[in-house]
Amino acid sequence: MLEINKFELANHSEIILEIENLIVNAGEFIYFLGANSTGKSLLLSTLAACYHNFNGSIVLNKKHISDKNYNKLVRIIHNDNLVFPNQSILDNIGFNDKNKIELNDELIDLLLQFKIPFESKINCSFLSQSEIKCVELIRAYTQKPMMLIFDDLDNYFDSQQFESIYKLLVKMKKQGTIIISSGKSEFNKEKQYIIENKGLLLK
Amino acid sequence: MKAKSHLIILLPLYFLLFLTIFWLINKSYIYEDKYYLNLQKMPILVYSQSITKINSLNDNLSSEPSVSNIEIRTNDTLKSNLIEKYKLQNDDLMKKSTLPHLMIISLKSKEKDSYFSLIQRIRTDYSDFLLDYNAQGIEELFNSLENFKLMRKTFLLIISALSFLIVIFAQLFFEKSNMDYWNIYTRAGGDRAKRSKSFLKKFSILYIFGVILSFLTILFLHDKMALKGNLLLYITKKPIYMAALTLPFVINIFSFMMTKRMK
Repeated sequence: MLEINKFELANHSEIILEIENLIVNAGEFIYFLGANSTGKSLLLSTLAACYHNFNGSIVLNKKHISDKNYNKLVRIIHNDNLVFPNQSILDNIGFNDKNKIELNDELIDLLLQFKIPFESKINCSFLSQSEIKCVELIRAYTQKPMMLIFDDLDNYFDSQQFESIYKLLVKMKKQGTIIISSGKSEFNKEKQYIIENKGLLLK
Repeated sequence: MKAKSHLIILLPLYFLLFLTIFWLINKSYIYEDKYYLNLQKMPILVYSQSITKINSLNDNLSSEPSVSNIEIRTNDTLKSNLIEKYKLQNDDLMKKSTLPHLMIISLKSKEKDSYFSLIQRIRTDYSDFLLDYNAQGIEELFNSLENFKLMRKTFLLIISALSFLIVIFAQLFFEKSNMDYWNIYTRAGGDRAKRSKSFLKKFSILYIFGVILSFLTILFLHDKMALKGNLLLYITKKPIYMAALTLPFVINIFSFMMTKRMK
């Protein structure tokens, strides 16, 4: 469960968003909508413990954001590509594991679903933008996070990829992963929050 | 340049530099030994009519550490040598005259003072002895030796400072060239402590095998077998070595804290 309390998000010294209280339960998929520069991406980066200019409390599964283990519970898929271009796809997926990741049936299935070539010769510099995002998503899935954050989920994928992604996200939801995204809300209509006038409104 | 290849190039370069320095230092000690050999070629000659006194001086000097060799030539031997050398078998004057006994003292002292204090001691204790020694030659030899030692010490200090600079810049370049990797690594959810851990691991190797071993070798070469004694006591007695040994650790801890803060 994610709990946000008395939260104030600042960009430089200006407060751009205030949230009195927000609770997201395990297995929920929420969307943050809003116009440009309302602080959607900044809020997502804050939830992923990548941005620290805020007041208030963020607690995920009883771990406060200041806890050194908090970031182990969260995975974020940013706007920019976070893959090692000179490493193979499998090395990128298993980059945080002590041992190299094994190519098991589930992983092969996922890679085939997303139409990603996984020969060891092919490194990530050969992949398209949407394929890179798929690799990042598969990597996040294999790490089994408590919360998965997407910055602009709808931006990168075509309709065919959407179908595969949706299946994967449903699977993650069933495992209890909280999924948070920003974007145009084409993807999910479950629970959407609109960021407006420095506040959060449930749509 | 990639961080990995940077380190691969840097480490051998670092060792090569130190090996060259050690070789030079070693050569400098061999060269220094030549000074002491020259010193042995300038012995103190002691003349006396009394063999008893010569023997007594011999006994006194036998335990003297700065004396390398003592040779006594009695007046009979001297006379017969002279007669033979200059073919004076028929010379009456030579036959009648009494020559003094000769004592040749070769020295191995590494200090000028001990050389002259020995001469002073002989003069005081055996005032009737006649001494012959090359004071000017010894003075020049020790002056030249002092200059040589000073030059070596300066060279050592410059090279130590240079090696520290290499290590510090290596550290900075290594971190800088790795920045992109760690940026992706941490933002993609990698273990944030891993950077500090790998940093410590890599640079401990560089410091332990690079700097500390290098300086231990310098210590060893500097005073040859000085390491047989209490090393800790030796290091604490020489603050320059203490500083040299601790500085890398201080820099390491400081850089470690800096990289932690950068994240």
